Formats: sequence, C-alpha cells, structure tokens
Amino acid sequence: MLEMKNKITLLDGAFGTMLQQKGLLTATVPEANNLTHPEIITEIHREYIRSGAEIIYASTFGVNRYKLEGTSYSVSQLVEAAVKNAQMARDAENPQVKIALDCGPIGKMMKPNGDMSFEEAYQIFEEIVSAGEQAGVDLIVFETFTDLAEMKAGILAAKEHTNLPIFASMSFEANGRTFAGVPISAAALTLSGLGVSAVGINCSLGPEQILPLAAELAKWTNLPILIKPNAGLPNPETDQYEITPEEFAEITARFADLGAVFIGGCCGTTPQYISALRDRLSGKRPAARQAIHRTALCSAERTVEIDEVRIVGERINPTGKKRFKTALAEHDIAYILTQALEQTAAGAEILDVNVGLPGLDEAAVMAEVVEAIQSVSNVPLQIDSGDPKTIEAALRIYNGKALVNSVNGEDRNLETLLPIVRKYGAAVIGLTLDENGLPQTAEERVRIAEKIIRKAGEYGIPKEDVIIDCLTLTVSAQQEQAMETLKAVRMVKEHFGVKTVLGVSNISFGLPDRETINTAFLTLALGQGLDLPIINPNVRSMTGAVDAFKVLSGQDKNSERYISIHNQIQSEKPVVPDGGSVSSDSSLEYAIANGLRQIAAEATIQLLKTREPAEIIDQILIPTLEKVGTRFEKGEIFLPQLIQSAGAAQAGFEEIRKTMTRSSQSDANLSKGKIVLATVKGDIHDIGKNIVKVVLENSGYQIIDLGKDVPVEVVRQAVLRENAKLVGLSALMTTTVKNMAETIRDLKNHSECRIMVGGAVLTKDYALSIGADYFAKDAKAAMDIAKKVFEE
Amino acid sequence: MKIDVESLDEREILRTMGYRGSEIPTDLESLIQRCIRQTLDTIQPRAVFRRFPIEKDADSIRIQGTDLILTGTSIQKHLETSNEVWLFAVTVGQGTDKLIRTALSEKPEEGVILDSCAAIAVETAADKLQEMLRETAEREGKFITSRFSPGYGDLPLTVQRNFLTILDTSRKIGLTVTESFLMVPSKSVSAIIGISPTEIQTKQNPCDGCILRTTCELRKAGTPCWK
Repeated sequence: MLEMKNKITLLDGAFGTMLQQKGLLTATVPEANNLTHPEIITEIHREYIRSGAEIIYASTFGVNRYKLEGTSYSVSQLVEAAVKNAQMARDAENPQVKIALDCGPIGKMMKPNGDMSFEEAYQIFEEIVSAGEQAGVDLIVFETFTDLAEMKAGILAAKEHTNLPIFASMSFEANGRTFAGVPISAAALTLSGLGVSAVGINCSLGPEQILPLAAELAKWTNLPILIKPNAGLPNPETDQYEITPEEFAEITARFADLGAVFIGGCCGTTPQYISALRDRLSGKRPAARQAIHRTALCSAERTVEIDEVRIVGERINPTGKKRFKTALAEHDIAYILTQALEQTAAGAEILDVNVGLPGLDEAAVMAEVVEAIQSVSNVPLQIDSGDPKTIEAALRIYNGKALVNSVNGEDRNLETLLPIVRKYGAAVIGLTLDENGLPQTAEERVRIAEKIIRKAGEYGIPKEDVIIDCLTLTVSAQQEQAMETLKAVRMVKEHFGVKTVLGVSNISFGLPDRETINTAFLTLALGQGLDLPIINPNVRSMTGAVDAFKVLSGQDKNSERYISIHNQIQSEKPVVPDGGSVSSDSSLEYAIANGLRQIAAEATIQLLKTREPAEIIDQILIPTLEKVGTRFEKGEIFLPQLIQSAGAAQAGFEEIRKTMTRSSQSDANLSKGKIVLATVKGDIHDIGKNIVKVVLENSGYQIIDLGKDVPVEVVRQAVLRENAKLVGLSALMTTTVKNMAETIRDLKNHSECRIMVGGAVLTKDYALSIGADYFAKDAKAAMDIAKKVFEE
Repeated sequence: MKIDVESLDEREILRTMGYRGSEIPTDLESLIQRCIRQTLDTIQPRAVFRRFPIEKDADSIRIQGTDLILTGTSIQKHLETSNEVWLFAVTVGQGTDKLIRTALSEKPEEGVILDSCAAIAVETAADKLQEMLRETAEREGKFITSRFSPGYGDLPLTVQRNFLTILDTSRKIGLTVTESFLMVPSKSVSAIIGISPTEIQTKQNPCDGCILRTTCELRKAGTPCWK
C-alpha cells in the first residue's frame, strides 16, 4: 500500500520549522496549534502536498502523556485534531496522499540510565498509537529515536494494539551511533526483526553526513529504507540551518542510488526543499538492492556477526554449580554480573543465560537477569530456556537481537516457540532431536535440521537466523557418537549453509581431566565448521584453541589477534608481595592492606589448609579491613585504596565460600548479620551506596542490596522478610531526601530495625530530624555503625 | 554543539575523591592515568545554549519568550546587574554512565575513579563553554556572571524540567530529567549565566549559593570545587 515497486515515495519536510516561520512555535506544546490554529496547520500540510509529498506526517511528534503533564490537553484530543487537519489537507489537495501518525521519543530516559521502565514506555505509546488508529491514520512513524529499547516498546505497542504499518527511524550522530550508543547495524537488525515496514534515519545531520550512514544501513537490512535529513547542520550561534533547497535536493536525491524509497526532510526543511527534491528525483528510480543474508546478533551497543568463530560463554547457568545456585536462590544479582563480566573479559562474544532452578519463577528471574546484564555489558545474549514464558519475558525486554537456545524438531515445540522467536525478531538454535529422542546417526541429525529450518521458514524466520546444534553427547557413555556429532556439523553446513553451535563441555562428563578432552573435541569440531562453541571462556586452553584455529583457518588475518592476545599472556608473571611468603597470615594482611586481590585469594587458600574459616575471617580479614578503615579516616589513604582493600578481602571471602560450598557447609553462620541497603525512591545516583556495600560486605555482613530508585514498600518488605537489624539508605538530592524521610517513617512503623542514612546533602542533625538512628558520612562511618549495631 | 575536552586535571580528580595528600602507590597512579584515558575516549561532550533577555519583578525573574520564571533571592542577587542571560546545558553522554556502572560491578575502585574523572570532564566542558560565552560577551563590551544551576541556593531544582525543555536538550544533546528532577545522563550540568552591561562588582562566591554548602568536605578543606 505504501511502497510502490521501483518508485520513490516522497515524504514531507519539517513541521517545527514551518510553525516557527508562522510564529507559532512559542507555545509549550507546539501540537496545541492543531486546536488553536487548525487552518494554519492544514495550510502547512497542503503546501507540502503541493510540493509533492505523498505521505504527510500529522503534527503529533511530541504528543504523549509525559509531555502533556500539567497542561489541559489530552493525547487523544491532540491526535484527533492533528489527524483531522491532515485529512482536510489531503481531501483538499490529493486523496491519494497517506497520513502518518508521527511519534517521537517520550522525552524521558529508560532504565538503567533513567527512571522509565519498559512497561511505562509501552503504556505511553499504547495510548498514542490507539488514538492514531482511532483517528484514521494510514501508518505509524516512530522517528528521531536514540534509544533502541524505547523504540522497541513503541513498536510492540503499535503491533499489539493496531493493525497499521510501522516505519521506524532513528537519529545518528556523525560517528554512526545514536546518543545512547546504538550503531546502525544494531538498529537495523533489531528493528527489522520486529517486523516494521521500513527502517530509516532522520534528523540530527544534513544529507551529506547521512549518506555514508544510509549506505551502512543498506548493508544490514532488506527492508525499504526511509531517509529524512535536516537542512544541513545548524549554526550553533543562530540555530539556523544553512543549506539551500537546491543544495539539499542535490545531495538528498543521491539516497535513491543507495536504494532508499521513502525520502523527505527533517529540521530546517520547508515545502521549497521538498519541491526541489521532487524536481531532482523526477524520473529517478531507486537503485536495486542486493539481498542481505547475514547471521548476526546484537545488543543495543554492539553487533556480533557470526562470520567467524565466536565464543559463547556458558557460565551463567546453575547446572552443577553450587555457588551459582546459592546466588540465584539468594537473589545475588551482583554475583551473576561478575560471572558475565569475567567471561567477557576472557573472550566470550556472546553469553548464554540460563536461570532454571526448581522453586524459582524462571520467567521473572530471567527478565531481571537479562536486564541487569545488559545494564553493564554490551555482549549479545543467548536466552537459554525451554519454557515459552521465560523466553518471551526475556525477548520482550531484551535490547537488541538475541539468540534463543533452543527449539528442537518436535512439532509441538516448534509450533509453540517459533512464533515467539518470529515476533521478537530473534535468531534461534535448533537442537537436532525430536519426539523419537536422541538421533544415533549424523544423517538423522541432518534430517531433523532440515525440518527445523523448513518450519522456521514457514514462520517467516530466514535460514540465516537458524543455527543448528548437532548435539554433543557424553563420550564416556556413547563413544561412537562423538564422531557422528562432528560429521553432522559438517553435513549440516554443507547441505543447508547454516551456522552451527555446540555445547562443548558435555563431551567429557564422567572423565578425569575434562579440559584435555574438551580442548581436543573443540579443535576437531572447529575443523568441521563449528561457528559457535559454547564453552567456559575462563579456561585458557579452550579460548587458546579458538585463537589458534582462527590463525590456522585464516580467519585471523596475519595472526594479528593471536599475537596481541598471546604476547600479553606470555608477559603476565605471577605477582609476589615484597618479602612475603604466600602462606602466612601476614601475607593475607599485606594483601588486604595493599588491595591485592590475587595474593589475598592465594593466601586464603593456603590458610584454609590449616585454619578454620571463622578464624580467618575474625582474626585476619575483618581486623585488617578495620585497620584500613582507620587509615582512611585519618587521611593516610583515600577512597580508591579503601575500596581496593575491600576488594582484596572479598577475594579472600570468595575462597572461603568456595571451600564451604564444596564441603556442603552452610556459610550462613559466618555472617555477622544482615544489612539491607537501598538508594531511595526517585534517586538514581547510587555510587555512594555501592561503595558502602563493598566495604560492609567484606567486613563480614550479608548485604541485601535492593538497588536504586527503591519504593518504600520494597524496603519494608525486604527488611521484614530478611529480619534485618540494620538498614542503610542513601539519597543524593534535596528532592529525594523527602522519600528517604518517608521510607524511614514507614520502616519505623513496621519494624524494629536501626536505620543509617547517607548522601551528599545530608547532615547529622538533618538525618536525625527525619528519624534516622545514624548518619554515615562515609564508608568507614558505616563500618563503625554496623559494628556498633551488631555488637549490642 | 560538540565541545572538545582533551585532558583532565588529575589534581581535581583526586580532590573529588577526598584525597588529602598521602602517598599514591605507583599501581594506583597508573590506574588513575588509565581511567583518565578511558574517560577521554568515552565522553561525548555536547552543549546547547540560548540567549534570552530577562524581566525582573519584585520577587522573580522572567526569562522572556519562555514561560520559565526563576524565583528566590539567590538568583536575584546573582543576576543583580544582568539584563540578559544564557541558559545552557552540557553533558558528556550516556556512554559514560554505562562505563562507570560496568566498572563498579567489575572493579569498584575503577568505578569510583571513573566517576570522579567523568565529574571533572563535565565540569571541564562547562568551563570551556563558559569561556566561549565570556569571549562573546567581551566582544560586545559586556560581562558575564559565574554559573548558577537549578537547585543552587533557593532556586528550586523543580525548574530543571522546564529549563531543559526550553533548550530542547532531549533532542539536541540527549539530556533528560527524571521524575525527581535528576539529570540523565548523570554527568551533566545545566546553568544560568547572567550577561551584564557593567562589570560584576561583588566577587561571587559560588559556595554561597550551593546546596552542599553545609556538608561539603571540599569547602571545609578550603579547596572548593570551583577553585
């Protein structure tokens, strides 16, 4: 309906610029002009139609509940008026013209940077798009977005509440990224996957700067491309755009050569620009585009193309890992994040995420963990679950294009999961087993792979988004299967040209020295064409095998990558403290005092051979950290050193925990007590709280960290559930201190806990006046308070 | 517009971390240097500014051509001799917030150092912009006041949202405000600079207007953040 074969469809130009020319841009809500000056709005639309625009955008860009707060206007009222004005113009000028609902960013930042949740954004968009459909628009345009997650919320709202085609357009800076750091490839992959009708680039830059960006976009999508450049770059002094309609049209017409089919103008353009563009484009056809078949995943900030071997980290998975199970059960998200970051640092380019543990709400935990990992990491994720609800919960909030692990060849499995994969535009792993169980031959595996690829195609999932897993079986149980798996990998690649994945570590189950078997199997599998080995990247022989394979297969041109990584490995020497042997108390003390993590861990391992965990904690770890605190108080060391010492103590604690988990002892009795920490509602600055956490955690307390922007009732519930004796609250701004006071009042009404508070604008007197028991001016003060409270 | 920030003053960074002159181990010193480089590689300093005439009432200042009204005695005193203002906002961008957040969960001491580096980076960017505005004023034979931000003295922080809307910061530099009027990205500065036809007589001490006046460790130590 909207796109015409081999023809460029002209869009309109700027609305704000036109309002400004007519002296109507002074109002706080420019869209209110739809009600106050409908004849002028309609006239602007008519001018654009006369200039050649075939799709016009109703004047609704900033209409949303958030921006209308405190005004007398409602979303539906302004959308209705705006669409009516556009319809009047269409009816008067050209009934063929289509009308778009123009939907801009909400104006608030999404979590984790800001305070808007995905759900809140979704609801705001739902109201707008429903009003648009009701008012009779022909399509919805989301434009000028810089945050991919926000735009995804809008697209999902439009898909789930209207039947209209959707155009999705983002604004990039000259460096090829949006303000939120989204590269063009990630925008293209994610938006194309969500099933929009066109993707594009608008605003921020002039046509000349957008040209190379549009060329890049065309490499990552098969969808029609939309371009609306500004009239050049504005002069910072005058805020005026400085290229002429002719110059604009001359450059903008070149987008047709890249295959763009929807072309118009953004800020600074007027009907003169559009008519100049029409003249330039007259008789011109969009260049034919090459179909793109790339297998690629992305987060909002990073695209990982599977055009060479990519390591998938397997460590975020509770199976067989007591420490991880404990972390999940105790809701210790921080531990899971360290697992994510550690694997990334070790070379993982994709992370598998599995949180399946009996008794846990898998879908809720998965969504939370995915969000948390994405807040600190830019590595694409592989959502590992068999539960459709869990997969959907993860894909819904996932920012980017994820990989689902996995579907299998059973009809019912495919029919349940493929629609979810399709809806959210993910890629998917197809496991070569079906209702008949594990196949015994390579040929059977190939047959199942064929079925999965075919079924995926029926649901609209292209072959390049299906990655086949030929199943690693345990070689100690079924020895002949190892070779069948390897053979299947090669056959699947040759027959279907798809990418392959294998969980490598499973091969060695039940055998001693598993690493040796794993490395050999990995090397063989890479030789057969394995693209995505799922491994523990912290094991150097495994990542080393991949590095070496990339050299031998020519993927690592001139061995550059290998040389840079392995030169560094060779030059890493073990650090030994000055004049200390690694086995004595003094070396643990030394390590903590000087903030040396590695040494602290090694010294603790040595000490554990002869001494009880409790003894090490009470006689060395805690007293040493206290001494460090005193030096901090005196100004002999400063903040980063205090934190380094806490980190070294943490390394010691972590070794103790590992030992205890191994011997199935509970480490609960090692804790000096529970402390709940939270940055209060409305406040998103939590660095102070995080510093206090690091220090307290390693002074022997169990910390329940509720994070930032924590509602009053969530603090209360946690305190009651955990029966915590001490609560620490932080607030940075005067505007949020009132929420701190409210949290304290609520806690005092419901529990006996002691409350310490901290934050830049607080003073001791003020803290006590709002009901706090203690004021902690810094992390050392918090240590002293905790000691006092728990020794009472 | 973009602002170039090519270096950061290490002394300033140390000061925001409460450094009181102790010896810094070599490892820590090189970590700080690395954090400075990483910050400079990550920040995307951008600014918007607009110039407005102002109209003074008995107890408020109206920014002409907008619906922004500045209330309180501190801003009145600050703009005593001014008849125009620049409203401006500067941010180092969202990437910096993520860099700090990631470091805090991986290696907290790095997170703390990066946080200080980013704070100094945005101040440096604001200083540069201010200097540029001062030169513009000077060319016209005019003078400018120091920066005064929403939330200073008795100017309510709640003006922040309208302030940023007027500058269209969300679209132009990716700067927004939360329900509690905190700026996102967090390393951002919004401020008012007065333009005065006469030299600013009273030496303005920015601490007088600052919300942290009573608690600020830097001020107590005699080394306030503005120097």
